[in-house]
Amino acid sequence: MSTFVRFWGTRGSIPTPGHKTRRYGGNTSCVEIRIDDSLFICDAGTGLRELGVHLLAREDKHLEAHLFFSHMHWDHIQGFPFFVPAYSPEAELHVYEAKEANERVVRLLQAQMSSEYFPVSFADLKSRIHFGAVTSDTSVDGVRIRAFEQIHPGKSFAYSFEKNGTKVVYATDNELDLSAKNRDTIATNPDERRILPKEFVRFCENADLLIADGQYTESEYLKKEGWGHARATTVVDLGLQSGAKQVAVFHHDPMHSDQDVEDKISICERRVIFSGSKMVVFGAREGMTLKL
Amino acid sequence: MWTLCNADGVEASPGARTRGIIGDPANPGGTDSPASRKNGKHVLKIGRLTETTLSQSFHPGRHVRPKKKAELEQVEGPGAPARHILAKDEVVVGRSREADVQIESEMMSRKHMLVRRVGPEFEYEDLDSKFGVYLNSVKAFAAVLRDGDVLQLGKVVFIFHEGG
Ligand SMILES: [Zn+2]
Ligand SMILES: [Zn+2]
Repeated sequence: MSTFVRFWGTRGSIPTPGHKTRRYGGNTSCVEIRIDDSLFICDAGTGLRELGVHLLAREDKHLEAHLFFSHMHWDHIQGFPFFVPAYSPEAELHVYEAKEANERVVRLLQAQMSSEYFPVSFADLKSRIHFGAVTSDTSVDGVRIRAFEQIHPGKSFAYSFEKNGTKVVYATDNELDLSAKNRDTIATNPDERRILPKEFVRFCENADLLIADGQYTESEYLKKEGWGHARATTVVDLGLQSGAKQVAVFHHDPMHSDQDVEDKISICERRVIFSGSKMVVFGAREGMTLKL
Repeated sequence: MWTLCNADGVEASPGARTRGIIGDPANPGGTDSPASRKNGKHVLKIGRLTETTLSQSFHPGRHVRPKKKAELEQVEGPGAPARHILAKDEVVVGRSREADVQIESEMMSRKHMLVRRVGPEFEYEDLDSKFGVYLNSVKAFAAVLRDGDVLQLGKVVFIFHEGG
């Protein structure tokens, strides 16, 4: 059994091309998870365009992919109209959302390709596209998939992918800080461990890789509370409490240069060391592949 | 207010092609300051604004200096310090005699890592080595390399330099 995870877009909110973001990348959310022969794609931010180009170059004629949407904000859907396999009659796409999202994915993927926004309509895509919902017993090619509702304006969902004891969790656009049980004391002492809700900790439990929204530093978060994103240090606490082996801090702020991301990660590393854990924490970086 | 004008000081008409060079290409280092004041306006001289001048004399990308080649600078392990120029499109690093960068070191697999040129960039891939490749201290199977990245293969440490 093999599991590969590649980051195609790690930026939050809006693409940020340019020399200041070369190392971590400027494309918005898109992660490829390959478990044995099955291909799972989390979110269709602008990183999806390049993934599409790669897939056509490396796949056989028939391409089958399973796409999962955390939610439908721009930075998670804009790559879809530029995903070349969607135009290929040889491709089969399964598009999923959490059951609780109430077919929002279908509606909004079609809407962003209406003629006022885009020259090709959704109905003209040549691939076979199926829509489905993730429920409490969803399984694809032996991979168990679960969804969890998160804290984000208009809701978002985390997904977990698990097969033969290997687990990947994708949890972006989630203001984890608002769910901490000890919010009042954290406000005066940011070093204090954030006690996160049991249900979500259990959802993330024992991940080989936890990919989670850690957009802000401590000081940025103070100014952006309620915007729907977490402090990177809170993601560290989620990893520590759920027993993650590795944490990829994801959805980097569009204002962050590579150096800013590195500084944010250094603070996370110190937090891990201080806890006495051996958990690995790093900044999710475009073009990086992990083998789990 | 700034306005664009040609070398003769004639103001560029709206819609005229305004991409040009500061100063007159026929008079390099000429005595005229490229920026001056005219009728109370700041004027920036940008050379003759004709298609022929631009296309015959200057082409983006044609005048770049020859680039320094990308390299792996070995800073730890047997043979360090050493510089391994990435002259080929595919460079194998390992213990094997067939490897392009051959380093006899424990924890180094026979064929440990492939560094591949993809257009103007370089990517690496772990060739299913026993101890893996660490990119800036994180075990990663593959990545697009960026200037200053640190790659660790067992006891051997490289710094990647993009060149250019
Ligand atoms: Zn987002
Ligand atoms: Zn969002």
